[in-house]
Amino acid sequence: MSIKKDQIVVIVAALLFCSAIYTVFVYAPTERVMGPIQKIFYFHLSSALVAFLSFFTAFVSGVLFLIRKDLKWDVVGVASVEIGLVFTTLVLITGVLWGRPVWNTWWTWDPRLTTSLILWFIYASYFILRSSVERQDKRAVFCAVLAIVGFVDVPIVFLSARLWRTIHPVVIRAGSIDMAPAMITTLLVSLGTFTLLWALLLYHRTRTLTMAGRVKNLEKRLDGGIL
Amino acid sequence: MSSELFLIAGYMVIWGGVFGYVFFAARQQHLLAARVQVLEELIKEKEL
Amino acid sequence: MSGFWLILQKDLHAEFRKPESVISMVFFGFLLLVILNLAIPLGSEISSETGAGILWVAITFSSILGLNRTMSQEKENRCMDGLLLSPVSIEEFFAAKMVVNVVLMLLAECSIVPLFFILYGDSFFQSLPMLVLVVLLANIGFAAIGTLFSAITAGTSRNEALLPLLFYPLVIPLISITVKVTSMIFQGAVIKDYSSWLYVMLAYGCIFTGLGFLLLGHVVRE
Repeated sequence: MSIKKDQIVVIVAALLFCSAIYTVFVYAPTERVMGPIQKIFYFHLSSALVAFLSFFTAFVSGVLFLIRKDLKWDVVGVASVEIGLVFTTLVLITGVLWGRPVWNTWWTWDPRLTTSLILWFIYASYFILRSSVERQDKRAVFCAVLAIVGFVDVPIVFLSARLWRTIHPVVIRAGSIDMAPAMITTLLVSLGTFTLLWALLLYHRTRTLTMAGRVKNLEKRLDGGIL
Repeated sequence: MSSELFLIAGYMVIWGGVFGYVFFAARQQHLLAARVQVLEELIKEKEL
Repeated sequence: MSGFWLILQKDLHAEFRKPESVISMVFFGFLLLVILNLAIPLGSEISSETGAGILWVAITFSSILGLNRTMSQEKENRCMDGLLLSPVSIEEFFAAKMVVNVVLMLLAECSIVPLFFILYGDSFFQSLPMLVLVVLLANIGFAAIGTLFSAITAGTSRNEALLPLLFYPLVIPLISITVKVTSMIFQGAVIKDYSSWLYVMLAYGCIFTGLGFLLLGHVVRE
């Protein structure tokens, strides 16, 4: 991508972000039972989608790295785990802020929230592992293995999260929220915006991290007097 | 009424998070570019 | 499968001669059982869920000591390089190490579980047969992930301190299922009520054993 095209995409993303905010606050109707707080749902779900896309990408790049042994895939993996972790954090915080007025409690052991929390732990440990291995190729292999095992764990985490409390509070399921057509449109706009944002972030983070790796190598070679 | 407060807080967190992250990424990219420049000059010096 | 038997024999023999792992696991498990007793109000009956939670916290936390050692002992004196050069295949190596871990955990559980019954009430004894099955299924899952990740942490600079940080987030689902099933067993529920969860535990063990077979080669060769 040339710099010009780059900028166009960024501007499009910014415009889309603004229009998503507009649809959420102005276009979408206010939900009757929960009131305005329901509007948090659009960006909450979009963040969750971004997090899931990121972890899936990390899984795929982990597999590709182990097959091809190309460090390029390691960089894609780190970038996506990083993005996924940021958006999982957002999901957790918005989930808490949504739950407080609706369920009158900060935290419920709702399967979705619990799953997000455990995923947050798994992928946070990815960075702890990363920081404790020096050698690049070794680090890449270890991180790829963790990304693969972590992603395979996701469905089991979700399954088991139903067990955390026997008596569930009233769980509001996305499917059971009475969705007016305008709400669905709003949701689709947010989802689209966040997907574009995700692609953009992933592209730029991958580029930055690749560059960071190269700079590090150059510095090492300069220190070693090879150049 | 307080429900709106939570809504505002929620969106503040999302915007804060997204923009904070974008800012962090941009800053890292910027620092790297500066570092590359320094390295290029160093290499040129060595070549001379 | 002779490589498998050789490694298994070697490790169990070493453990038999100098039972470092099992003793530290049992000791730590006992300590945890006593410490967790502090969470229970004096003279009150504990619920089956609390009991199951305490038992599994003690078992999982003590098992980390054994999991850590199985791989780190191969790193000492570069034994791993020798093993890689030998005709033993990675699959046999993984299987042997995993079985060693299961055996070590079983040995530790043989004393942790009875002590749990003594400290927290003997009315639980009728649940023993099903408890053995649950313990076995849980051990397979723990050992599969534990073996793979202790191979990883043995290759890092932080070594043994790192394993719990990687291990626990991944086994949380298994722990939560195990605690739930154990508490149902303590309550005297019929097998039909929790048999579907036993299948999930079995599936968990199979999935991660398979992943271990696939991935350990990449990890160890680094």
